[in-house]
Amino acid sequence: MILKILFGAYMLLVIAAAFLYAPPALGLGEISRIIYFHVPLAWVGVLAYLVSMVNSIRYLKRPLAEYDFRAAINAEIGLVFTLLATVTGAIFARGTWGVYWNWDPRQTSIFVLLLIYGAYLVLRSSLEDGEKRARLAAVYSIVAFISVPFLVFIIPRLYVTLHPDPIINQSGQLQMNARMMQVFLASLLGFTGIYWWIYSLQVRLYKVVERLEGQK
Amino acid sequence: MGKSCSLWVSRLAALLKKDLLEEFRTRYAINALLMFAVTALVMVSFAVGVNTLSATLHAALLWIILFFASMSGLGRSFVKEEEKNTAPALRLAAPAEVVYVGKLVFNFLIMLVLAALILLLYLFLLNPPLGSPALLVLVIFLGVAGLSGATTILAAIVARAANQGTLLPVLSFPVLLPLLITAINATRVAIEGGGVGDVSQGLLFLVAYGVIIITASLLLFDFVWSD
Amino acid sequence: MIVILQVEQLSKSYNRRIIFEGISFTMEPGDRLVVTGPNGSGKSTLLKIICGLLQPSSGTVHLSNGSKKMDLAERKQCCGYASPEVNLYDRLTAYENLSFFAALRGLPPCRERMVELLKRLQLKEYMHQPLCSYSSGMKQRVKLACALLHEPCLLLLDEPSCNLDEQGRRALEELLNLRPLHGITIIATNETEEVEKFGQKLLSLGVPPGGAA
Repeated sequence: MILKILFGAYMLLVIAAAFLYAPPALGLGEISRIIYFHVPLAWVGVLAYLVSMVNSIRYLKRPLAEYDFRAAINAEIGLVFTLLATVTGAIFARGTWGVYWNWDPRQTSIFVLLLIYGAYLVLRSSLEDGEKRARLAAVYSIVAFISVPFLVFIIPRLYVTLHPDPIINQSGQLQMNARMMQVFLASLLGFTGIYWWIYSLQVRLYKVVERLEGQK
Repeated sequence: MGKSCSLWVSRLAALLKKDLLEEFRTRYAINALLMFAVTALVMVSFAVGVNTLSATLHAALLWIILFFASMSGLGRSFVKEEEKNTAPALRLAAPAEVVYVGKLVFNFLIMLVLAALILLLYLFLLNPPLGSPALLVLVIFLGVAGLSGATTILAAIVARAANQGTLLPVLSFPVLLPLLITAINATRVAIEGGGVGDVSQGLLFLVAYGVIIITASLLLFDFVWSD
Repeated sequence: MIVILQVEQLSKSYNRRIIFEGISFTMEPGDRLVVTGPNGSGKSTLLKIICGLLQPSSGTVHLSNGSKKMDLAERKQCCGYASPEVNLYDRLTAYENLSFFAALRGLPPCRERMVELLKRLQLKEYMHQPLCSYSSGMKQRVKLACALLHEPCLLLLDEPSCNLDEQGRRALEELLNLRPLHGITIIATNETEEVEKFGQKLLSLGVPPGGAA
């Protein structure tokens, strides 16, 4: 209990610091404060996918229903975080480049991640509960993962040449001063903590339900 | 070793012969796909009218048609086995890898025929400039190989799920996106008249993508295929 | 090949619903077993698990050739299996179906054997017509031919006489009697006539626990 209150206070502090403590980035203005939320959200979106895929591999090695649950719940959490990252990213893009969407490499990558999550969940919903669903979803999660490094490798190469927009590169490497870095890292830690909290709560809930069903 | 290898090949040949024979008798895939391709191409051709398109647009249109044609055609080979309940007999009689490779080769052949037809019709109806025809054929060949490689295992997944009609494109798109982007780019270069040197990286990428996706499919196929 | 089949503590459940539990038996070369039981007692499921199409929830199935235990892939290969739930290819003729499965199983070309099987099942005149022109009884005969084609050391027949007329049943009986002496045969059926005729050993599956039949 005490831990949760402390954590809540910590997150409030991070949010307040993002608006009050950190200075706005040079040349980007107040809109740059969104990176304290946008980047951690995107990071969690990717992290959740990795955790989901690792659990998919574990399931294929040893078919325990719990691994399947872990893979599925990470996809659901990851979808929410990725969606928020996409929206905050679009707002950021509007503020810096003037348009919400321009298929910048980063936007494309996050969009594909969103599509993979969506496809994974659609696949799950069109299968009946059970081993078969777990196996097929796990295989899809692994096959879809193969395309991620290709995207990271290929899209910047092709699209930087098509859109030689210097702002894109600049915004990729924001010059951060010490205060900004502190807030940024604190926020990264905080959002990862939120993710971990949601995840472990879900796993606990799952285990309780399993035990109750087992007793019946 | 030599004996088991030749046994493997003869099994593969039997499976391929069976699929081709079935396809030849029903002509389902090729008819449906051909009609789809014609419809799509005529629509594009009407929409374009007398305007001339840029090389980028030509490349994009060609691959959009190829992508959706493969989505409506390649799913069939597994769906048919599941729908008609012939899959269990196949599961008992042949090892999973043979089934995967057999279906992959079959899908690749179908797509190759289809791509050739689509390309000819496209040239006929839309009259794009043809800078380097040999490069264009090479790009389409490699692209279709990767497309069939990725779609085969996804089609096997889809065949075991409900709402099969819409599921395949949904599942395939994120997986195929790197391939499509590269293929469209290389096709654009080919239409503009570039040489192999201009797209060597893209071609290498297409080969790598195909090899990796097929290797992964071989490793994972048994999980999809067996109960 | 001479084999022994050992089934130990086999159970299967779908999403917590138990189909059957704790089934154990051993079959020596030449044994015949008839599995009976009400609908939903898991006869078909048991056969599918034995041939390797389904995985049991717990327990093991072992097929051993002398002292060597076969793995799942080998077990699938040496089974003959026919069931109303499994179809052959509609667009191919009976002969093409048989030669396809023969080639897939890696058998040497065996035209005589195929023609003889089809003849015994009264299908010789129709063997070059596609299965979609067949009646359901004729399709059932082709399925039987397909299951027997490679002289399997383990033959599993689910409702073998389904859709068969009197003549077909006689042909089935004849074919079963022609099986190699060391072959193991398991038949799932509820027809009393077959139980009496083939049931050297009998296994009755009960009503599934917790589920109404």
